[in-house]
Amino acid sequence: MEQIGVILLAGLTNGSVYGLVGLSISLIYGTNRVINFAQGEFVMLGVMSAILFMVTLHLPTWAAIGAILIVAILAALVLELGVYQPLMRRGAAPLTIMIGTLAAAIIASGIALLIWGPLQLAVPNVFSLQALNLGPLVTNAQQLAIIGVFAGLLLVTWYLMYRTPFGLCIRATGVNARVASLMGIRADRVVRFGFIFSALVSGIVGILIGPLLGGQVGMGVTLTVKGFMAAILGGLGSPFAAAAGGVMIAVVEALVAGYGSSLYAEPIIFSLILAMLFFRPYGLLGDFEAGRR
Amino acid sequence: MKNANTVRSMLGGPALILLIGALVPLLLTSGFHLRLVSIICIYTILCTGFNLLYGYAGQISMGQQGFFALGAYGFTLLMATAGWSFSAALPAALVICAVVALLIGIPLLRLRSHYLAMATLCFGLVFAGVASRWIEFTGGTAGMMVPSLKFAGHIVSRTELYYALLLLMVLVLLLQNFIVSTHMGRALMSLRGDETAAQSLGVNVTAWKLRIFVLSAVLAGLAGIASALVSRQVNPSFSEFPILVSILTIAVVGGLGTRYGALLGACVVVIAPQGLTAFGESETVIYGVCLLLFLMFMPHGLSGLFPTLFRRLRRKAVAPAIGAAQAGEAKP
Amino acid sequence: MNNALHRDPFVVRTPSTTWRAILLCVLASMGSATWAGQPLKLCYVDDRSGVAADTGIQSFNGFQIAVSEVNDAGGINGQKVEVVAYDGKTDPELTATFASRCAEDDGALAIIGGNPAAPAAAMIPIASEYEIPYLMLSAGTDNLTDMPAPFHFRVGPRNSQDAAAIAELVAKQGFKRVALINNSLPFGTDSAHAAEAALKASGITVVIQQTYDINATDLSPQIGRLRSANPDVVIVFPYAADGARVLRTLQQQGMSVPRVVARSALLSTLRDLAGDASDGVLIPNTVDMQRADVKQFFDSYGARFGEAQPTMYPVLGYDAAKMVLKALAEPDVQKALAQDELADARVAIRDALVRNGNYQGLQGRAGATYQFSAERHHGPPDQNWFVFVAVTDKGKHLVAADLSTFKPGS
Repeated sequence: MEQIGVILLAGLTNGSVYGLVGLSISLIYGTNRVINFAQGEFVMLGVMSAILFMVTLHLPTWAAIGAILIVAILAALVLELGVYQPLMRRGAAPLTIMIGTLAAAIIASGIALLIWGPLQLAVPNVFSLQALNLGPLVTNAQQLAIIGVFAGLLLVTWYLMYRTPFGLCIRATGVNARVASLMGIRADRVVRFGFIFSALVSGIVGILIGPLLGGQVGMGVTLTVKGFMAAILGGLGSPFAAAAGGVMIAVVEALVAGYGSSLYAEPIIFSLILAMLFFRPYGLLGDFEAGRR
Repeated sequence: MKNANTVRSMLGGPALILLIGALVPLLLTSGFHLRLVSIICIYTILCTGFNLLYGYAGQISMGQQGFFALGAYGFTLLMATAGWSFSAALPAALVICAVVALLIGIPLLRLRSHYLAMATLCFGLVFAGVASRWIEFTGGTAGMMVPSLKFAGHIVSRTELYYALLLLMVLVLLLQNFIVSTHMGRALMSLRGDETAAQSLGVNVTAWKLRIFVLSAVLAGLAGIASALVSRQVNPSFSEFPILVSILTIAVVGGLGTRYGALLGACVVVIAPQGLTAFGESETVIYGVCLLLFLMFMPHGLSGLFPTLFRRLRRKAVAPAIGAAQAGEAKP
Repeated sequence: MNNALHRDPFVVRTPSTTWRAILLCVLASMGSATWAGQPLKLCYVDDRSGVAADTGIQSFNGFQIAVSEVNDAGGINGQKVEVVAYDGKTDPELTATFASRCAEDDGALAIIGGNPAAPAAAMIPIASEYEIPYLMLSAGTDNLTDMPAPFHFRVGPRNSQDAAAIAELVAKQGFKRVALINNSLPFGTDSAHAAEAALKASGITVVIQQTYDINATDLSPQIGRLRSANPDVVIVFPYAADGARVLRTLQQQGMSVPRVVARSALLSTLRDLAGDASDGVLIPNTVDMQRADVKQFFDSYGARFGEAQPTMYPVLGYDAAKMVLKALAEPDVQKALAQDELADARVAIRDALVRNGNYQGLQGRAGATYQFSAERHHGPPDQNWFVFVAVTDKGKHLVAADLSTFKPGS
């Protein structure tokens, strides 16, 4: 019984990270049908700029967090104006734009390499790393913060999408961008919002995981892949399905580690996702999405 | 007349490539350059399969590196571990690739676009994960050594291996040209558009998707075997991200859905890192920026350049025959 | 940093050999057969920007120190040593291509490099093919030096030696129930595999073995299973940041058993992140910081490249370079060089490396030497090579390990 509690808590903690990356991938996908290969690089930029602002420049924590979020917004704007817009104007297909974001990811990690070098660096923690006992479970404030922020960001996203007029525009653009723009919705603004909001989410993830995962300029790719898998497993079309996909992956990962072979946990998970796609091609919580072009 | 043109466009390019390729070793001074052109041949074979699948038929696979490694590992295990002869291990490894492609292709090809991309990526990741973990069987991270080829006591030299690769590459290009210029090509291209429309015109969509998926997997496996022979070893990096990035880069730089895009792209991707070493640490940034610029300003890749050039040339020169012979080569 | 070291890659230098031969004849007839003005080239190929870049960069720095020492002292018989360096990332194919470029286009006399296993292994066939000496650094996969490759040498310890050293310590200190935990990256899985074999060979039970993903923020499922297996010692094979996570989680879950962490814990990143959770941890190292010559080397390393981490990587680069430089000064190598016979010079260097096989470098305990021979191309001996250091003072300092307190139940 205690064992299952430990596994679920670990699944929730890790799942919050995968889920938030999946959520941000899905947020962009929802507005423009483009998969952003550079999503993990936003997280990497969050982690690395935390080192820049907190360690190198010694800014107070609140100022550093603000500065990190500004970096995330700037990176989103660069991606949108420098990669997405030009490719869209030239009528590129969504998959071509995806390769464009891959190029952006290569550039981002290349620039980060020039600034921070290739070594894995320690990142200062915002919350305490001291052990915290919750009954039989042991965790720490930093890990709890990840879960808390995950829940908070889910709420914010839900509120934005379903309780504001702008959210209606986002959903309308997601269903059919052309019709939405005929209805007078400024689709370009919705897309820009998608980029900025998802970059903010990823930047926050960066602040939270940096002290635990450390900072290395190449860390983005593996996070992107995990985020993708989360989004595919849950269903790309909805941010909430993608977030749930992330938690599912992490829980299965923890279960495999807890009861099965932890060595093969990673290949087992990818096989499970592959098998799931055989039976539910549109994701566990997805709809007809995948069959549509 | 039209038929003669088709045949000329099918054979002309590969014949020219064969001619130039055969002369290359005479012009090169070092085995290092020979290695580079051998790798170009390998990448061309790999990406011709990807080009048929994605460029012509519009079905993306991000698991080609998995088949690349599957071919290489299958071949090496059969030859080095099981002691099979080269002539038995080579076809057997290709059959393994085809069977695996068939098995995962049947359920997966219902998927489209990003879902298909991610599902095939999953396949690649599973392969890489198992190859690096199952140390007893696959040799783990450092992989396995591949013995050099021997025929009747004669050890195949680098140059001979290169000529074999060149011939193989030309055959693969011929096969591609044949597919593209017959009804098969039109069936494939109909998949790229609306599948329902293709179906209503009598194209068996599922069968064609599966055929092209299996063919591209077999070509990837063939390239993997060639790569194992050239580098004399296999390791899990055959199935890892950098190979996928190379495939995508070659497709973009060379030009998707063009006949010689794979070759042109492979030349750039193999030679560019040698030139980029001069930039030291900023190498990665420059690579990414170049890729992005290609995407933006040359949507049809290097292949897209040639029709424009030829059109200009044709306008200047009054000899239309040359233009006609080369038009096929530069199909946009 | 190394831009100046690179040559234009597309310059084909065909006529040079003939012209050099003619020039040499002219020079010889003038009675001066020296090869003056033609620098001796050594190639360094390793990952310096990928995931294993920390090792590649440190080794390269150590390599450069050795070369500068010789050049500052006037070179070898008046000839300067030139360094050609390539960054192969962690890409085996690219690394092998660079190695063949070293052998052919650059006309290097030897290749040094190879910390991550796959790219390091990819250079072995190249070394055999071009018959150029290749000194591999820390790539530890056991069988890499098993096959006959007359020009390939390994300077760093192999995985089974790391594992045997740990197994020996564990057995000597009286531990009976070992738990292994490692990350899912090559270093983690390979090392854990080797450790399991070595422990079994010494008759020690591995009660549990766990693997985790480096992106997992919460490792409690794995640590929970470790705890319920009730081991008397935990051995960790991590990278820097995830190693800190393992140590912290062990501490959080109240597991205060003795811990051994692989050499990643020599990096300050791990100890900074782990803080007091890393205190008391034992780390195996092949570099004995108590040796005066080692201390002096790390002082000059720190002076030139900033902070030095007490790992074996700089020492590997330095020792490998020193061995090759020593070989370069040998008369038969000099003779081949004077005759402009590159191939002969490479063979002579290989022979000299074997001849001076008992080289005493900075690796190993005081008095230990490498043991290269015609049959044995793996340098580090099985005995007297590893030292254990302990972490103290909230991860800030490394001291010589006090083995009397490192016992079961302590």
